[in-house]
Amino acid sequence: MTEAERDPILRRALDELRKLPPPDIGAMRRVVAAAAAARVTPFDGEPGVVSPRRGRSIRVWMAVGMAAASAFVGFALRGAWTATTSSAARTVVMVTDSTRSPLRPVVATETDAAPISHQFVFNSRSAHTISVVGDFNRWNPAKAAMVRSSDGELWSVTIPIAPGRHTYAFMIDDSLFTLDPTAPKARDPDLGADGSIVIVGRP
Amino acid sequence: MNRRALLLVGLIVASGRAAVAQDSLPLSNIDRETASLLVRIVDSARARGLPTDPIVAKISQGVLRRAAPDRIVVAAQSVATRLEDARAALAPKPTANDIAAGGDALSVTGVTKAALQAVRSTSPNQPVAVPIAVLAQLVASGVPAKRATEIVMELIRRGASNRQFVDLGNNVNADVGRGARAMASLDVRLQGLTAVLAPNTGAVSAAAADPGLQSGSGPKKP
Repeated sequence: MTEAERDPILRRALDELRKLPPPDIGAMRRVVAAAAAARVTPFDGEPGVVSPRRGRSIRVWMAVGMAAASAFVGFALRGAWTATTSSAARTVVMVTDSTRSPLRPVVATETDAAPISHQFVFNSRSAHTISVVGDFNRWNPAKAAMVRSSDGELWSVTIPIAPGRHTYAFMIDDSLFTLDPTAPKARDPDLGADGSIVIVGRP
Repeated sequence: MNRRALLLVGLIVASGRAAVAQDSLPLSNIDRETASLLVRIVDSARARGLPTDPIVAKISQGVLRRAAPDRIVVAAQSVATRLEDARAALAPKPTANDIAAGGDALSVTGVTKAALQAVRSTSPNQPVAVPIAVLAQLVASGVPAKRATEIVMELIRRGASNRQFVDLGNNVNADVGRGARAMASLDVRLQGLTAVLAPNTGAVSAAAADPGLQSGSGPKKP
């Protein structure tokens, strides 16, 4: 066991890093092959003869190809890293062992900004469709359609919302805006329309 | 060929950026000139490192509510300006959520950049989106901005959790909705909250000397 592995914090960091998925070798090969193919694409001029000007062109396209390949591989690895650290963060939050506390502050900060599930409920027997629209879903009715309960009167939807203060409204039958009768309301200073207010925060 | 290659790459990048901007904006019912202005506002905010979600949300709301195009443009520009102000007030390293919360708070009459700076100075290393959200809502409910700022700062000092902040804001909202005066509700709710928080550390603040923030003491200010 190395000295680094004996350190509990470093050991945990190493454990998390080992969980990262291996890079997609096939994808990397395909990108490199595509860049290589672009490199030998015939340019204007005599075949087999490389003029100084053509040599510069080839270098430019090689650079573009390599940049594209690097960007692709970078994005792929970044995505894998981000996904893994997110799941790792969720795992760490559940840990209660006090010896593992040194890694908590960073995770707690990430968790503070993570969206929180919030349920919206509205009462209407006559509506055919109801959506909740607000700044948390960019006022897009398609993103939060409410579901009618079995009694036919209560509608609800639960959606993740970032911590903070949000303005929203209910949109009935794709046309009528209605405020939440159970929430405070505020006038939008820019558009002059009233909206309901919700404040959400993590316990 | 070099120039052609660079031009091609430039065009691809430019068209990609425009596609991203237009893809995220509900521009289908907006005339071309207005759409161009809105895309420019969003792109400019993005280039300055500001969160663009609040701007896009404002544009979407305007479109959904069938607001006049010029009003939507002014609204989007106002949001961008407030985000810029909020970022400056919450320096040095606010999160996107902090900036969005600060921008929203600045839309409430009475909340100033100085208030955001005061909150940030009390909590320099932690996210402040929720305390700022509650500050905004308290002021919107009728609490004077100075008093609301002092209270939020004091609660941060005393270790109030986000949940406790949210509960305070929602409880005051509910009381006001039932007809109570905002200040009266706030004083009563603070009595319950301060009773469970850590004792006052003696930090210098106007709120520290305010009887309404002392655990177990009755509210003396209306």
